[in-house]
Amino acid sequence: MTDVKSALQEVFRDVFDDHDIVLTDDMSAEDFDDWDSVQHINIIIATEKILKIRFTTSEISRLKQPDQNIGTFIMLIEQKIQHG
Amino acid sequence: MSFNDPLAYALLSLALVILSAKSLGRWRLHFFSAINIVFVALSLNISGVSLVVFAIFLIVHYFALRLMLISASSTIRSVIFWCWLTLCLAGFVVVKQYHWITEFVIEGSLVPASLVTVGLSFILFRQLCLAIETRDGALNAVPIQDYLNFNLAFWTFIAGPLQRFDAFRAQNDRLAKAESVATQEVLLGLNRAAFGFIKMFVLANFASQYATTSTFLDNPQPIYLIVFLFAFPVYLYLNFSGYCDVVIGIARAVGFNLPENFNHPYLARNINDFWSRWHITLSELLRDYLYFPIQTSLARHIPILPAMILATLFSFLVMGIWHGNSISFAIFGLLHGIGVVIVNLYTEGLKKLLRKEQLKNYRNNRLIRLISVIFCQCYVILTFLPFNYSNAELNKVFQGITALVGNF
Repeated sequence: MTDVKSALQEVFRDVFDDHDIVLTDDMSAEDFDDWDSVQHINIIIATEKILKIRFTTSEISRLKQPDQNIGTFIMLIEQKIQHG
Repeated sequence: MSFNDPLAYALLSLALVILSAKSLGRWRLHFFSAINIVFVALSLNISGVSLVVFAIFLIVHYFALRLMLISASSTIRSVIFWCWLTLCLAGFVVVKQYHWITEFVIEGSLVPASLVTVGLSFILFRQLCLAIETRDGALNAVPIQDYLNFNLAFWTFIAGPLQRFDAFRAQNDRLAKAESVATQEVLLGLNRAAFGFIKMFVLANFASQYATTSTFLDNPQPIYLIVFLFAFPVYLYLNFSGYCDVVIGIARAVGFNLPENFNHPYLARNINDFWSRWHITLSELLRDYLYFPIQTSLARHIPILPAMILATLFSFLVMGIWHGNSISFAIFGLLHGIGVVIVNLYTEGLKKLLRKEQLKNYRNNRLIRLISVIFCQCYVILTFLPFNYSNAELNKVFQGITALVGNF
């Protein structure tokens, strides 16, 4: 498991208060019963803090789109880390 | 011109024939643009001042987009974005005649009475989303023809459904490639449009007869009070969802998929759920381009719950103001914002109090669901009152209710 993925997994376990969560690339918001707007922001803020990055409005909104999943989220984070 | 005007149907039918002709190839896209411009001009009653106002909104926005697209610096893009947004909002408040806002600066109307602004509220939203995406570097190009079709598409010009630019472009490209539309799709689209016409012109018209205060005031009995309270929400749903059926159906018949706007809103179990089922495209864009950025910005500095409360109230206030230029719409928005805040706090409380299995049982409990739906719909119905009736009308209704209660 990559560093980003394991960091993200910790974020999800913390936000959803479920230590059994194991993230896979094809998981999406549909797979989490409690992934509402409040939790969405919790995930964003926790990810920003842990990985020292900052998401734009467009990136935050696109994460909720049907074609997005954990895999695309990880790719986005890796791109942001690479480009500083 | 509106969807009540036979000329609109003639134009739509002509568009349907033209856009369905595969042999036209890329010309379909040019016809689409031409039809859009004609439709908009007719919608604005070919009024010179209205056309100039719309042109200014479009030109200023497009100019701001071009500037952002050629700017490598995100700071410069942000400055351009905020300059455009300030100008655009100021213009919108003046043109849409928000007197309760402008009266702090100047008395009376600043625009001629003949000005037609139908569709401008929806253009504002499309422009805001496009500007944010461009500012954030999510878009590399905005071709002028795509830009105009996006803002002026005849089927969504008057009242949506709202669409994201990338989703629109994907559909627009299909039109340009002249892909043929399956006969079944054409028939399903036309069937949906026909159903929409029935909802709008038969069912909604029937409901509208009872959506006046006289329904109750002339017959001050409990049953007529209930009919009065239900009539406007029912009318609004039938009229707006019927309109959406018409435009989604017509677009589908020419191979253009528009997003859905309604999903049984009167089965919602709370106000959050209601807004995920009612005017869905507006709710999603408000959430993505207003609520999320405000809440994220706040939550970077203050705890998440106060951030949620402030962001929710502000977003719903904007949603209310966007719906109409009287202060009643602001009140309507705030009431729904307060409802969403209460639901969010209640949900957070439940998550803390109940274990996962208990929470699941709570949500699946049919009796709790039924009570929630009834409670939610009562709240929706009551908060729709300032949406449709003046303070004077509501005062008379409350006096009637007081007298009715007194008689009992």
